[in-house]
Amino acid sequence: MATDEQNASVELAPDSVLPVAVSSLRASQLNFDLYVRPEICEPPKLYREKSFPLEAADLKRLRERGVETLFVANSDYAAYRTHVLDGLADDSSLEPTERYNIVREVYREAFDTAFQGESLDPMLQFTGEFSKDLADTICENDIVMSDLHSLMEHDSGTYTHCANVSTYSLALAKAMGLADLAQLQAVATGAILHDIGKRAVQLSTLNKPGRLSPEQRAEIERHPLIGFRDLVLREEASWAPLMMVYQHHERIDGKGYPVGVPGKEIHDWAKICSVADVFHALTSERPYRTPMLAEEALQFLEKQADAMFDPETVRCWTMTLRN
Amino acid sequence: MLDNDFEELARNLAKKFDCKIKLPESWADYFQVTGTLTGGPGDRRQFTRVQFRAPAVLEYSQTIPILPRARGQYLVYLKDYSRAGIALIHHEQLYPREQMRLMIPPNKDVAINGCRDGLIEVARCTRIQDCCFQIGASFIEG
Repeated sequence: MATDEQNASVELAPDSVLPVAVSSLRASQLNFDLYVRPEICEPPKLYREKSFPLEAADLKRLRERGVETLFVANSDYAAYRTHVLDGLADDSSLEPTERYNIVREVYREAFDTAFQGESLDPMLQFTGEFSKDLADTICENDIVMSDLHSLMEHDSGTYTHCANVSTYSLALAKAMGLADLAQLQAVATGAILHDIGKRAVQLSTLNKPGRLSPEQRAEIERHPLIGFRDLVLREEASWAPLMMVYQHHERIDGKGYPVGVPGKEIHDWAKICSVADVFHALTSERPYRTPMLAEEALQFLEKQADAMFDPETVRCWTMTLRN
Repeated sequence: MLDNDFEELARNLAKKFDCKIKLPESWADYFQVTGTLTGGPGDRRQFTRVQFRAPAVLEYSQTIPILPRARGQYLVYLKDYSRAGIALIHHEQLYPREQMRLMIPPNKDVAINGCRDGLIEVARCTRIQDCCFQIGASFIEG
Protein backbone atom coordinates (compact mmCIF):
# COMPACT_ATOMS: atom_id res chain seq x y z
CA MET A 1 0.00 0.00 0.00
CA ALA A 2 1.30 3.43 -0.88
CA THR A 3 0.51 6.54 1.11
CA ASP A 4 1.75 10.09 0.74
CA GLU A 5 4.79 9.07 2.74
CA GLN A 6 5.54 6.13 0.43
CA ASN A 7 5.10 7.56 -3.01
CA ALA A 8 8.50 7.47 -4.61
CA SER A 9 8.39 4.28 -6.62
CA VAL A 10 5.31 4.46 -8.89
CA GLU A 11 5.42 6.98 -11.72
CA LEU A 12 3.28 7.62 -14.77
CA ALA A 13 4.03 9.42 -18.01
CA PRO A 14 3.21 13.15 -17.69
CA ASP A 15 0.47 13.05 -20.34
CA SER A 16 -1.26 10.00 -18.88
CA VAL A 17 -2.90 11.82 -15.97
CA LEU A 18 -5.57 14.48 -15.55
CA PRO A 19 -5.72 17.05 -12.75
CA VAL A 20 -8.53 16.94 -10.19
CA ALA A 21 -9.40 19.53 -7.55
CA VAL A 22 -8.73 18.40 -3.97
CA SER A 23 -11.95 20.18 -3.01
CA SER A 24 -13.91 17.73 -5.16
CA LEU A 25 -12.72 14.66 -3.19
CA ARG A 26 -14.67 13.06 -0.35
CA ALA A 27 -13.12 11.07 2.47
CA SER A 28 -13.92 7.48 1.49
CA GLN A 29 -12.58 4.28 0.00
CA LEU A 30 -11.50 5.34 -3.47
CA ASN A 31 -11.44 3.08 -6.49
CA PHE A 32 -8.80 5.09 -8.30
CA ASP A 33 -5.19 5.94 -7.54
CA LEU A 34 -4.24 9.53 -6.73
CA TYR A 35 -0.98 11.10 -7.88
CA VAL A 36 0.98 14.21 -6.98
CA ARG A 37 3.15 16.26 -9.27
CA PRO A 38 5.62 18.40 -7.30
CA GLU A 39 6.77 20.19 -10.48
CA ILE A 40 4.82 20.46 -13.72
CA CYS A 41 7.77 19.07 -15.68
CA GLU A 42 8.16 16.03 -13.41
CA PRO A 43 6.33 12.75 -13.91
CA PRO A 44 3.36 12.20 -11.58
CA LYS A 45 4.13 10.13 -8.47
CA LEU A 46 1.70 7.91 -6.62
CA TYR A 47 0.18 9.67 -3.62
CA ARG A 48 -2.60 7.31 -2.56
CA GLU A 49 -3.20 3.79 -3.84
CA LYS A 50 -6.85 2.94 -4.48
CA SER A 51 -6.99 0.22 -1.81
CA PHE A 52 -5.95 2.70 0.87
CA PRO A 53 -8.85 4.85 2.14
CA LEU A 54 -8.71 8.61 1.87
CA GLU A 55 -9.39 10.05 5.33
CA ALA A 56 -10.77 13.44 6.30
CA ALA A 57 -7.43 14.08 8.00
CA ASP A 58 -5.62 13.51 4.68
CA LEU A 59 -7.78 16.09 2.96
CA LYS A 60 -7.24 18.53 5.81
CA ARG A 61 -3.48 18.02 5.60
CA LEU A 62 -3.47 18.62 1.84
CA ARG A 63 -5.40 21.84 2.29
CA GLU A 64 -3.04 22.99 5.04
CA ARG A 65 -0.11 22.38 2.72
CA GLY A 66 -1.78 24.46 0.03
CA VAL A 67 -2.19 21.48 -2.32
CA GLU A 68 -5.23 22.26 -4.46
CA THR A 69 -4.70 19.76 -7.25
CA LEU A 70 -4.00 16.04 -7.40
CA PHE A 71 -3.98 13.82 -10.47
CA VAL A 72 -5.68 10.64 -11.62
CA ALA A 73 -4.69 8.38 -14.49
CA ASN A 74 -6.64 9.03 -17.70
CA SER A 75 -8.02 5.52 -17.46
CA ASP A 76 -9.32 6.23 -13.94
CA TYR A 77 -10.98 9.56 -14.71
CA ALA A 78 -14.43 8.05 -15.13
CA ALA A 79 -14.07 6.41 -11.69
CA TYR A 80 -13.09 9.78 -10.22
CA ARG A 81 -16.10 11.47 -11.75
CA THR A 82 -18.36 8.71 -10.47
CA HIS A 83 -16.87 9.28 -7.01
CA VAL A 84 -17.84 12.95 -7.15
CA LEU A 85 -21.24 12.45 -8.75
CA ASP A 86 -22.14 9.60 -6.36
CA GLY A 87 -21.31 11.96 -3.54
CA LEU A 88 -23.87 14.35 -4.98
CA ALA A 89 -26.51 11.64 -5.19
CA ASP A 90 -25.93 10.72 -1.55
CA ASP A 91 -26.09 14.29 -0.32
CA SER A 92 -29.67 15.51 -0.25
CA SER A 93 -28.73 18.64 1.66
CA LEU A 94 -27.25 20.27 -1.44
CA GLU A 95 -29.16 23.05 -3.14
CA PRO A 96 -29.76 22.53 -6.89
CA THR A 97 -27.41 25.37 -7.72
CA GLU A 98 -24.65 23.90 -5.50
CA ARG A 99 -25.19 20.59 -7.25
CA TYR A 100 -24.84 22.31 -10.62
CA ASN A 101 -21.61 24.02 -9.58
CA ILE A 102 -20.07 20.73 -8.44
CA VAL A 103 -20.97 19.02 -11.74
CA ARG A 104 -19.49 21.93 -13.57
CA GLU A 105 -16.25 21.90 -11.54
CA VAL A 106 -15.72 18.17 -11.91
CA TYR A 107 -15.38 18.65 -15.66
CA ARG A 108 -13.23 21.79 -15.71
CA GLU A 109 -9.80 20.18 -15.80
CA ALA A 110 -10.87 17.52 -18.26
CA PHE A 111 -12.21 20.20 -20.60
CA ASP A 112 -9.07 22.33 -20.46
CA THR A 113 -6.83 19.34 -21.13
CA ALA A 114 -9.03 18.01 -23.93
CA PHE A 115 -9.52 21.42 -25.56
CA GLN A 116 -5.78 22.03 -25.74
CA GLY A 117 -4.93 18.54 -27.03
CA GLU A 118 -4.13 17.84 -30.66
CA SER A 119 -6.59 14.99 -31.04
CA LEU A 120 -10.34 15.61 -30.95
CA ASP A 121 -11.06 12.21 -29.38
CA PRO A 122 -10.67 13.26 -25.72
CA MET A 123 -12.77 16.37 -26.39
CA LEU A 124 -15.60 14.34 -27.85
CA GLN A 125 -15.43 11.78 -25.06
CA PHE A 126 -15.55 14.63 -22.56
CA THR A 127 -18.47 16.26 -24.38
CA GLY A 128 -20.62 13.13 -24.28
CA GLU A 129 -20.20 12.71 -20.53
CA PHE A 130 -20.48 16.41 -19.69
CA SER A 131 -23.66 17.01 -21.66
CA LYS A 132 -25.36 13.98 -20.11
CA ASP A 133 -24.55 15.09 -16.55
CA LEU A 134 -25.40 18.72 -17.30
CA ALA A 135 -28.77 17.82 -18.82
CA ASP A 136 -29.53 15.48 -15.89
CA THR A 137 -28.60 18.14 -13.34
CA ILE A 138 -30.58 20.95 -14.97
CA CYS A 139 -33.65 18.86 -15.78
CA GLU A 140 -33.92 16.66 -12.70
CA ASN A 141 -33.41 19.49 -10.25
CA ASP A 142 -35.70 21.94 -12.02
CA ILE A 143 -33.14 24.70 -11.65
CA VAL A 144 -34.40 28.26 -11.89
CA MET A 145 -32.16 29.99 -14.41
CA SER A 146 -32.35 33.43 -12.82
CA ASP A 147 -31.11 31.96 -9.50
CA LEU A 148 -28.38 30.02 -11.20
CA HIS A 149 -27.14 32.92 -13.31
CA SER A 150 -26.25 34.99 -10.27
CA LEU A 151 -24.19 32.12 -8.83
CA MET A 152 -22.35 31.10 -11.99
CA GLU A 153 -18.82 32.18 -12.77
CA HIS A 154 -18.59 34.80 -15.50
CA ASP A 155 -14.89 34.98 -16.34
CA SER A 156 -13.55 34.94 -19.88
CA GLY A 157 -11.93 31.49 -19.71
CA THR A 158 -12.75 29.01 -22.44
CA TYR A 159 -14.26 26.46 -20.08
CA THR A 160 -16.42 29.04 -18.35
CA HIS A 161 -17.62 30.31 -21.71
CA CYS A 162 -18.42 26.88 -23.13
CA ALA A 163 -19.99 25.58 -19.90
CA ASN A 164 -22.11 28.73 -19.53
CA VAL A 165 -23.24 28.71 -23.16
CA SER A 166 -24.07 25.03 -22.77
CA THR A 167 -26.07 25.71 -19.61
CA TYR A 168 -27.93 28.66 -21.15
CA SER A 169 -28.62 26.76 -24.38
CA LEU A 170 -30.02 23.84 -22.45
CA ALA A 171 -32.25 26.06 -20.31
CA LEU A 172 -33.39 27.99 -23.38
CA ALA A 173 -34.13 24.86 -25.41
CA LYS A 174 -36.16 23.56 -22.48
CA ALA A 175 -38.03 26.87 -22.22
CA MET A 176 -38.79 26.67 -25.94
CA GLY A 177 -40.50 23.35 -25.44
CA LEU A 178 -37.80 20.76 -26.07
CA ALA A 179 -38.59 18.05 -23.53
CA ASP A 180 -36.77 14.94 -24.70
CA LEU A 181 -33.72 14.34 -22.51
CA ALA A 182 -31.64 12.88 -25.34
CA GLN A 183 -32.33 15.97 -27.44
CA LEU A 184 -31.50 18.27 -24.55
CA GLN A 185 -28.21 16.41 -24.16
CA ALA A 186 -27.58 16.96 -27.87
CA VAL A 187 -28.21 20.70 -27.40
CA ALA A 188 -25.67 20.73 -24.58
CA THR A 189 -23.22 18.82 -26.79
CA GLY A 190 -23.53 21.31 -29.64
CA ALA A 191 -23.15 24.23 -27.26
CA ILE A 192 -20.08 22.89 -25.49
CA LEU A 193 -18.49 22.32 -28.91
CA HIS A 194 -19.65 25.57 -30.51
CA ASP A 195 -16.23 27.22 -30.31
CA ILE A 196 -14.14 24.09 -30.98
CA GLY A 197 -12.79 25.77 -34.13
CA LYS A 198 -11.03 28.34 -31.94
CA ARG A 199 -8.43 25.69 -31.21
CA ALA A 200 -6.98 26.70 -34.58
CA VAL A 201 -6.87 30.42 -33.79
CA GLN A 202 -3.69 31.89 -32.31
CA LEU A 203 -4.04 32.63 -28.59
CA SER A 204 -2.53 36.08 -29.09
CA THR A 205 -5.40 36.89 -31.45
CA LEU A 206 -8.10 35.36 -29.24
CA ASN A 207 -6.90 37.21 -26.15
CA LYS A 208 -6.00 40.50 -27.81
CA PRO A 209 -7.47 43.27 -25.65
CA GLY A 210 -7.56 45.99 -28.31
CA ARG A 211 -9.10 46.33 -31.74
CA LEU A 212 -8.43 43.43 -34.11
CA SER A 213 -6.77 43.98 -37.47
CA PRO A 214 -8.81 42.86 -40.54
CA GLU A 215 -6.52 39.81 -40.82
CA GLN A 216 -7.05 38.87 -37.17
CA ARG A 217 -10.81 39.35 -37.49
CA ALA A 218 -10.82 37.13 -40.58
CA GLU A 219 -8.83 34.51 -38.67
CA ILE A 220 -11.31 34.50 -35.78
CA GLU A 221 -14.27 34.42 -38.13
CA ARG A 222 -13.01 31.15 -39.58
CA HIS A 223 -13.72 29.26 -36.34
CA PRO A 224 -17.27 28.07 -37.14
CA LEU A 225 -16.08 26.73 -40.48
CA ILE A 226 -13.06 25.02 -38.94
CA GLY A 227 -15.20 23.49 -36.19
CA PHE A 228 -17.68 22.14 -38.73
CA ARG A 229 -14.91 20.81 -40.96
CA ASP A 230 -13.20 19.03 -38.05
CA LEU A 231 -16.40 17.38 -36.81
CA VAL A 232 -18.52 16.63 -39.85
CA LEU A 233 -16.91 13.35 -40.87
CA ARG A 234 -16.73 11.92 -37.35
CA GLU A 235 -18.82 8.85 -36.66
CA GLU A 236 -20.48 10.45 -33.64
CA ALA A 237 -21.46 13.63 -35.54
CA SER A 238 -25.13 14.53 -35.82
CA TRP A 239 -26.61 17.36 -37.82
CA ALA A 240 -28.35 19.61 -35.29
CA PRO A 241 -25.40 20.00 -32.85
CA LEU A 242 -23.13 20.44 -35.85
CA MET A 243 -25.25 23.32 -37.09
CA MET A 244 -24.83 24.96 -33.68
CA VAL A 245 -21.09 24.85 -34.34
CA TYR A 246 -21.40 26.08 -37.94
CA GLN A 247 -24.17 28.67 -37.67
CA HIS A 248 -23.89 30.28 -34.23
CA HIS A 249 -22.52 33.50 -35.78
CA GLU A 250 -25.13 33.69 -38.53
CA ARG A 251 -27.65 36.52 -38.19
CA ILE A 252 -31.36 36.68 -38.92
CA ASP A 253 -30.75 39.50 -41.43
CA GLY A 254 -28.25 37.37 -43.37
CA LYS A 255 -25.25 39.52 -42.42
CA GLY A 256 -23.52 36.92 -40.25
CA TYR A 257 -20.79 34.43 -41.04
CA PRO A 258 -19.48 32.02 -42.31
CA VAL A 259 -22.17 31.74 -45.03
CA GLY A 260 -24.47 34.73 -44.51
CA VAL A 261 -27.72 32.76 -44.61
CA PRO A 262 -30.91 34.51 -43.45
CA GLY A 263 -33.09 33.42 -40.53
CA LYS A 264 -35.19 30.88 -42.42
CA GLU A 265 -32.03 28.94 -43.27
CA ILE A 266 -30.55 29.00 -39.77
CA HIS A 267 -31.17 25.90 -37.68
CA ASP A 268 -33.35 26.49 -34.59
CA TRP A 269 -30.64 25.14 -32.30
CA ALA A 270 -28.09 27.52 -33.83
CA LYS A 271 -30.48 30.40 -33.05
CA ILE A 272 -30.53 29.21 -29.44
CA CYS A 273 -26.74 28.94 -29.32
CA SER A 274 -26.36 32.41 -30.83
CA VAL A 275 -28.47 34.03 -28.09
CA ALA A 276 -26.70 32.05 -25.35
CA ASP A 277 -23.27 32.87 -26.80
CA VAL A 278 -23.83 36.62 -26.99
CA PHE A 279 -25.56 36.74 -23.61
CA HIS A 280 -22.55 35.09 -21.97
CA ALA A 281 -20.12 37.32 -23.89
CA LEU A 282 -21.90 40.46 -22.69
CA THR A 283 -22.21 39.39 -19.06
CA SER A 284 -18.69 38.03 -18.62
CA GLU A 285 -15.49 39.72 -17.53
CA ARG A 286 -13.32 40.74 -20.49
CA PRO A 287 -9.85 42.29 -20.41
CA TYR A 288 -11.14 45.31 -22.32
CA ARG A 289 -14.49 46.04 -20.65
CA THR A 290 -16.57 45.51 -17.55
CA PRO A 291 -19.40 42.98 -17.80
CA MET A 292 -22.96 44.10 -18.43
CA LEU A 293 -25.62 43.35 -15.87
CA ALA A 294 -27.98 40.57 -16.93
CA GLU A 295 -30.82 43.03 -17.47
CA GLU A 296 -28.65 45.27 -19.67
CA ALA A 297 -27.65 42.25 -21.75
CA LEU A 298 -31.30 41.22 -22.12
CA GLN A 299 -32.16 44.70 -23.34
CA PHE A 300 -29.36 44.47 -25.90
CA LEU A 301 -30.73 41.15 -27.15
CA GLU A 302 -34.23 42.60 -27.42
CA LYS A 303 -32.91 45.58 -29.37
CA GLN A 304 -31.08 43.30 -31.80
CA ALA A 305 -33.95 40.82 -32.26
CA ASP A 306 -34.95 40.77 -35.96
CA ALA A 307 -31.45 41.84 -37.02
CA MET A 308 -29.04 39.56 -35.18
CA PHE A 309 -31.28 37.15 -33.31
CA ASP A 310 -34.50 35.26 -33.77
CA PRO A 311 -37.17 37.31 -31.93
CA GLU A 312 -39.00 34.27 -30.54
CA THR A 313 -35.76 32.84 -29.14
CA VAL A 314 -34.92 36.19 -27.51
CA ARG A 315 -38.42 36.45 -26.07
CA CYS A 316 -38.13 33.02 -24.50
CA TRP A 317 -34.71 33.81 -23.05
CA THR A 318 -35.77 37.12 -21.53
CA MET A 319 -38.81 35.44 -19.96
CA THR A 320 -36.60 32.66 -18.57
CA LEU A 321 -34.14 35.10 -17.01
CA ARG A 322 -36.66 37.65 -15.76
CA ASN A 323 -38.71 34.97 -14.05
CA MET B 1 -14.77 39.31 -73.84
CA LEU B 2 -17.79 37.05 -74.03
CA ASP B 3 -16.99 34.00 -76.07
CA ASN B 4 -19.78 32.91 -78.45
CA ASP B 5 -18.93 29.28 -77.72
CA PHE B 6 -19.62 29.95 -74.06
CA GLU B 7 -22.99 31.47 -74.79
CA GLU B 8 -24.03 28.48 -76.83
CA LEU B 9 -22.65 26.03 -74.31
CA ALA B 10 -24.40 27.85 -71.47
CA ARG B 11 -27.69 27.75 -73.36
CA ASN B 12 -27.33 24.04 -74.09
CA LEU B 13 -26.37 23.23 -70.51
CA ALA B 14 -29.18 25.38 -69.16
CA LYS B 15 -31.68 23.48 -71.32
CA LYS B 16 -30.27 20.14 -70.28
CA PHE B 17 -29.72 20.79 -66.60
CA ASP B 18 -32.37 23.37 -65.72
CA CYS B 19 -30.19 26.11 -64.20
CA LYS B 20 -31.60 27.50 -60.97
CA ILE B 21 -28.90 30.09 -60.28
CA LYS B 22 -30.05 33.70 -59.90
CA LEU B 23 -27.15 36.09 -60.38
CA PRO B 24 -27.49 39.55 -58.82
CA GLU B 25 -28.51 42.25 -61.27
CA SER B 26 -25.24 44.03 -60.62
CA TRP B 27 -23.44 41.00 -62.04
CA ALA B 28 -24.82 41.52 -65.55
CA ASP B 29 -21.29 41.39 -66.96
CA TYR B 30 -20.46 38.21 -65.03
CA PHE B 31 -19.22 36.27 -68.07
CA GLN B 32 -17.11 39.17 -69.32
CA VAL B 33 -14.84 39.57 -66.31
CA THR B 34 -11.18 38.67 -66.87
CA GLY B 35 -7.85 39.19 -65.10
CA THR B 36 -6.28 38.05 -61.84
CA LEU B 37 -7.59 38.37 -58.29
CA THR B 38 -5.91 39.66 -55.17
CA GLY B 39 -6.82 38.24 -51.77
CA GLY B 40 -8.69 40.11 -49.04
CA PRO B 41 -7.82 40.25 -45.32
CA GLY B 42 -7.00 36.85 -43.89
CA ASP B 43 -6.80 35.26 -47.33
CA ARG B 44 -4.53 32.25 -46.97
CA ARG B 45 -4.51 31.13 -50.57
CA GLN B 46 -1.08 30.12 -51.76
CA PHE B 47 -1.57 30.66 -55.48
CA THR B 48 -2.72 33.47 -57.74
CA ARG B 49 -6.33 33.18 -58.83
CA VAL B 50 -7.35 33.84 -62.41
CA GLN B 51 -10.84 34.90 -63.40
CA PHE B 52 -12.51 32.15 -65.40
CA ARG B 53 -16.12 32.80 -66.20
CA ALA B 54 -17.79 29.82 -67.82
CA PRO B 55 -20.65 27.39 -67.28
CA ALA B 56 -19.79 23.93 -66.03
CA VAL B 57 -21.54 20.88 -64.63
CA LEU B 58 -21.44 19.76 -61.01
CA GLU B 59 -22.47 16.21 -60.20
CA TYR B 60 -23.07 14.82 -56.74
CA SER B 61 -25.04 12.31 -54.76
CA GLN B 62 -24.30 11.34 -51.14
CA THR B 63 -21.40 13.60 -50.17
CA ILE B 64 -21.03 13.29 -46.38
CA PRO B 65 -22.67 10.59 -44.29
CA ILE B 66 -24.94 12.80 -42.16
CA LEU B 67 -26.24 14.97 -45.01
CA PRO B 68 -28.75 13.28 -47.32
CA ARG B 69 -28.35 14.50 -50.90
CA ALA B 70 -30.34 13.49 -53.96
CA ARG B 71 -28.22 12.42 -56.91
CA GLY B 72 -28.14 15.19 -59.48
CA GLN B 73 -26.29 17.14 -62.12
CA TYR B 74 -26.41 20.92 -61.93
CA LEU B 75 -25.33 23.75 -64.15
CA VAL B 76 -22.92 25.99 -62.23
CA TYR B 77 -20.96 29.09 -63.21
CA LEU B 78 -17.23 28.95 -62.77
CA LYS B 79 -15.75 32.12 -61.30
CA ASP B 80 -12.00 31.81 -60.87
CA TYR B 81 -9.34 29.18 -60.40
CA SER B 82 -5.80 28.67 -59.15
CA ARG B 83 -3.41 25.73 -59.12
CA ALA B 84 -5.06 24.46 -55.94
CA GLY B 85 -8.75 25.07 -56.38
CA ILE B 86 -11.68 26.72 -58.03
CA ALA B 87 -14.53 29.08 -57.15
CA LEU B 88 -17.98 28.62 -58.64
CA ILE B 89 -21.54 29.86 -58.30
CA HIS B 90 -24.26 27.36 -57.40
CA HIS B 91 -27.96 27.70 -56.63
CA GLU B 92 -27.83 25.91 -53.26
CA GLN B 93 -25.66 25.90 -50.17
CA LEU B 94 -22.89 23.33 -50.06
CA TYR B 95 -20.99 22.41 -46.90
CA PRO B 96 -17.26 22.10 -46.15
CA ARG B 97 -15.86 18.61 -46.80
CA GLU B 98 -18.51 17.69 -49.37
CA GLN B 99 -16.87 16.07 -52.39
CA MET B 100 -18.30 16.16 -55.89
CA ARG B 101 -17.43 15.84 -59.55
CA LEU B 102 -16.92 18.99 -61.62
CA MET B 103 -17.00 18.86 -65.42
CA ILE B 104 -15.35 21.80 -67.14
CA PRO B 105 -16.22 22.90 -70.71
CA PRO B 106 -13.79 21.42 -73.24
CA ASN B 107 -12.85 24.63 -74.97
CA LYS B 108 -10.91 26.37 -72.21
CA ASP B 109 -7.42 26.07 -70.89
CA VAL B 110 -8.29 24.93 -67.38
CA ALA B 111 -8.02 21.41 -66.00
CA ILE B 112 -8.50 19.52 -62.74
CA ASN B 113 -5.39 17.45 -62.24
CA GLY B 114 -4.87 17.52 -66.01
CA CYS B 115 -8.42 16.42 -66.87
CA ARG B 116 -11.63 18.04 -68.12
CA ASP B 117 -13.45 16.65 -65.13
CA GLY B 118 -12.42 15.62 -61.66
CA LEU B 119 -13.18 15.63 -57.96
CA ILE B 120 -13.34 18.77 -55.88
CA GLU B 121 -13.86 19.24 -52.12
CA VAL B 122 -15.86 22.18 -50.79
CA ALA B 123 -13.75 24.42 -48.55
CA ARG B 124 -16.16 27.30 -47.98
CA CYS B 125 -19.52 28.64 -49.06
CA THR B 126 -20.85 32.20 -49.01
CA ARG B 127 -24.39 33.28 -49.79
CA ILE B 128 -24.63 36.10 -52.35
CA GLN B 129 -28.44 36.13 -52.48
CA ASP B 130 -31.31 33.65 -52.84
CA CYS B 131 -30.31 30.84 -55.22
CA CYS B 132 -26.77 32.21 -55.52
CA PHE B 133 -23.97 30.78 -53.40
CA GLN B 134 -20.26 31.21 -54.03
CA ILE B 135 -18.42 27.96 -53.41
CA GLY B 136 -14.67 27.71 -52.86
CA ALA B 137 -13.34 24.22 -53.49
CA SER B 138 -10.01 22.50 -53.71
CA PHE B 139 -8.98 19.99 -56.34
CA ILE B 140 -8.48 16.52 -54.94
CA GLU B 141 -6.59 13.58 -56.35
CA GLY B 142 -8.41 10.52 -57.53
